[in-house]
Amino acid sequence: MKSLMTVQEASDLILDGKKLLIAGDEALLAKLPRGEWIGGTSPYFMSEDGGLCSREQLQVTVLPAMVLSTRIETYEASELERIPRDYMSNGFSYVLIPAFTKAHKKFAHDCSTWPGVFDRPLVGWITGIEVQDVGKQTPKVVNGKSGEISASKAAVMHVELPPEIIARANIINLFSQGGGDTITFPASGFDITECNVNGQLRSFAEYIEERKIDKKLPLVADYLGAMVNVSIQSVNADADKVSLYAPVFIGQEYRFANPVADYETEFRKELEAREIEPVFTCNCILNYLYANLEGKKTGHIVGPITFGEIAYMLLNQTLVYLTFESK
Amino acid sequence: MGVSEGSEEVIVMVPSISDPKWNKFVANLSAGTVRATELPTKMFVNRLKIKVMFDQSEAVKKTVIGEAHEYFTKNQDALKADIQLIFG
Repeated sequence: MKSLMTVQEASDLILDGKKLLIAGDEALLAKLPRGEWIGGTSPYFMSEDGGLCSREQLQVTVLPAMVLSTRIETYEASELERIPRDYMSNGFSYVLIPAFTKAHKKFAHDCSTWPGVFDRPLVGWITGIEVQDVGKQTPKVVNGKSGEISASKAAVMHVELPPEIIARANIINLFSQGGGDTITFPASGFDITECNVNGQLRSFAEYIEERKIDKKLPLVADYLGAMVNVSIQSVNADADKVSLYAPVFIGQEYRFANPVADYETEFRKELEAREIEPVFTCNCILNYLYANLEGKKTGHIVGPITFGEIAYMLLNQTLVYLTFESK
Repeated sequence: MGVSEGSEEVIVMVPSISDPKWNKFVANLSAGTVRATELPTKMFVNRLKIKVMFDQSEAVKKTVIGEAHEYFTKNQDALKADIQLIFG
């Protein structure tokens, strides 16, 4: 089944009782009937025919028939810590959070400290809008069960799997730590003034400008071999401030990434090495824009292009995927 | 630590909370030598590593061991490879 659909095609699946994860423009999501689905706004997709931006189509992930049940909840920023407590006994949870919101920041800062957060796969994405509309429109999430459309809450579908099946979340990150300076930060956050470069405290904005660092390259932290990116949103030397798309954390060592020569080719190689058939994937709008993925394919992988990817934590410039395995 | 030997595989169990292997786990956290295969373990253990880096008091070590014991015990079906790698 192709992943891109019209409102009518997606509506037919909903009315047929299918359990769906949907991405698309708000106006299209608002036309869908109520049912077992959860939706987030994004006009960017990786489709079977390559990357594209469309406000006329929805991208639909149909959960397999083996799924036993789903429960859809919405959470205010202050309630996000409750998500792990609502995990199914066996399964995974799929989270959508509107970009630029209190919930987005709260999740990014705190999620790794929430009791039980790593006990089931938690995957999802930060919902977005067309890049040219940033500041004019707001990203949304939709609880398809209740019809609630929210610009501030997180929406989560908790999915129950049969006992013999286990879900696993993983990432493909083509960036690795470069051989340059080791950078740490005296405080965690999205907006940074100071950093330690090889132990020496200095202005982060000044450092980036002085070294002429390519702002398309993320900071990369090594989490026991998992490379976790933090991407640069802007550098304001006059205000001595660097804004990031995810927080850096105090105590964590970062290095700027090595460049990726050809994203499409490197991605295909990585995919072939893994031999995966994901149930769900999402990839980053920055990969889409910086690697010019419009019209290009990332192997057989399809899924929404997002304003932040979630695999337990908020990630940047990373592909997140979910697979099912027999126990 | 218990090891149950089946006909096809050797399964390493999560050490009891009083097992000295936990002290070794904390020492390996500080040394940055803990290895894992599953993404959630990598992220979880990384958080513990930072915690220990800032405070090596006995109270923090005890908290870290408690958190790790709970994590591996609750998720032992999904984390067999990591339990083998860390405690085997």
